[in-house]
Amino acid sequence: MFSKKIVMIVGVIVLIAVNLMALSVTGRRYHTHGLGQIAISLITPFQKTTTRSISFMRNVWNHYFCLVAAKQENDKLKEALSRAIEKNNRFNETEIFNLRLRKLLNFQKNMVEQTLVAEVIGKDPSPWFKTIIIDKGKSDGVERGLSVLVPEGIAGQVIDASPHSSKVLLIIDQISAIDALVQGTRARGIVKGGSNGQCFFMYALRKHDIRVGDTIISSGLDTVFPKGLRIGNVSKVIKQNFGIFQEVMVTPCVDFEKLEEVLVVLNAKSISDVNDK
Amino acid sequence: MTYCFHIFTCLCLIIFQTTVLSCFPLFNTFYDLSALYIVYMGLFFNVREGIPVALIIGLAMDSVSGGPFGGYLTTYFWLFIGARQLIKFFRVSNYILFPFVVTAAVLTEAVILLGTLAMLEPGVQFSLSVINIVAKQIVWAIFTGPFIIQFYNFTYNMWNKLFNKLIVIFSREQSPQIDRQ
Repeated sequence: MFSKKIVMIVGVIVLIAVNLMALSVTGRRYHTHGLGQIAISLITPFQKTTTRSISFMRNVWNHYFCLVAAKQENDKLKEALSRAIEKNNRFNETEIFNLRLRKLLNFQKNMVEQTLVAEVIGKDPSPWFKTIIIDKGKSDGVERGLSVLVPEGIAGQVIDASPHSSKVLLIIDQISAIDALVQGTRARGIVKGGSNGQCFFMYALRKHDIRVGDTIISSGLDTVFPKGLRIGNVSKVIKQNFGIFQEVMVTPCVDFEKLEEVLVVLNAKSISDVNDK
Repeated sequence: MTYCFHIFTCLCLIIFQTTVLSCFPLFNTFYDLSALYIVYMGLFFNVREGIPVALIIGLAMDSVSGGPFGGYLTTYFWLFIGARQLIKFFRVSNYILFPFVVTAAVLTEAVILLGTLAMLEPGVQFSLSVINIVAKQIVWAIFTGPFIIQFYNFTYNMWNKLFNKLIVIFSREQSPQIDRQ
């Protein structure tokens, strides 16, 4: 009744439609189930071994073959250390002063989270998505929605946890969003990932005075990231003559190319808890 | 055994891409080697062998990647179908065709993955850097893709020869025992 060509065209159209429907159902999930969990459990041990071998080789190279630069670096570091010791004394003094003030104001401590050190064992194979895989999973207490930090600031958020590994969405990914503040002016907005390793500070009102170099910190209102953690510095501000918001570009404090170890904040509220509420 | 070989190779490629390649900033915008493997499978292997491998590797990539789940499954499925359709019109031994095939594969992958992201996350904005990344991927693909396909083919042929040799040796060892019995 129908020619082979027509049947084929109809078949392809049906296949595309089914594919799109399946994608719209499964694509909204950024966490894996069943077969995906098996696949990730199979891949991560090899990733761990390869990453450790690379780190070992890099360490050997850095420690034994680059000794020429080490002497000069040592002198510089000694100088920096003496400056840091002096600075540390001042910070200790400030900390004691701060604690006294907190007590006076009956403030609750908000930075006593329990953290877990995790090693980065893999990065996203695609340049379109910015995620990493860490070597700690459900068996270590890691769950979906926990915040991931490094000493420089916020790195990202756990979006999927397997028994022995987890997937972390970095703040530079396009679907990442953090409720944030400008440290100086307390202007509020949302930091969203850009497509070239930068972030955007969105929904900041035009009336706020935001300048290049200002530090952006987490507001803590998203209940995922603790308050006051550094996100990045303002690198560009565009204030147009119309509209109620200004365009602010943020350079993250964290160098995501050199991410090797991260801290997972264990007792922060998870996404599922927030969703349930 | 052929399935095992293909799946093992693709898993190696995934591990290589997520651990070794990501250590070098130069390869930040390198194209997806697994996608190229699927194209190679489409050009040199039949549907019975290619589709299961494409689906398994798509699933593995979806698990490892941070993109919407199903994006890589879709990409690899259509890449395989596309490559199969292509060999109906061109000869596989036509090496001049390879740079165009790999370019088309890179473009298709970018369009499907970004299209999926745009479809599922309407708020996502794409900047000019997307074009920049795709352009770099295409340049990498044109210059290295044909050689990598040749390398895949060479590795498979070597493995095939080795496997056949092993079978011959094994059957020779088995036959005297059977004769004695």
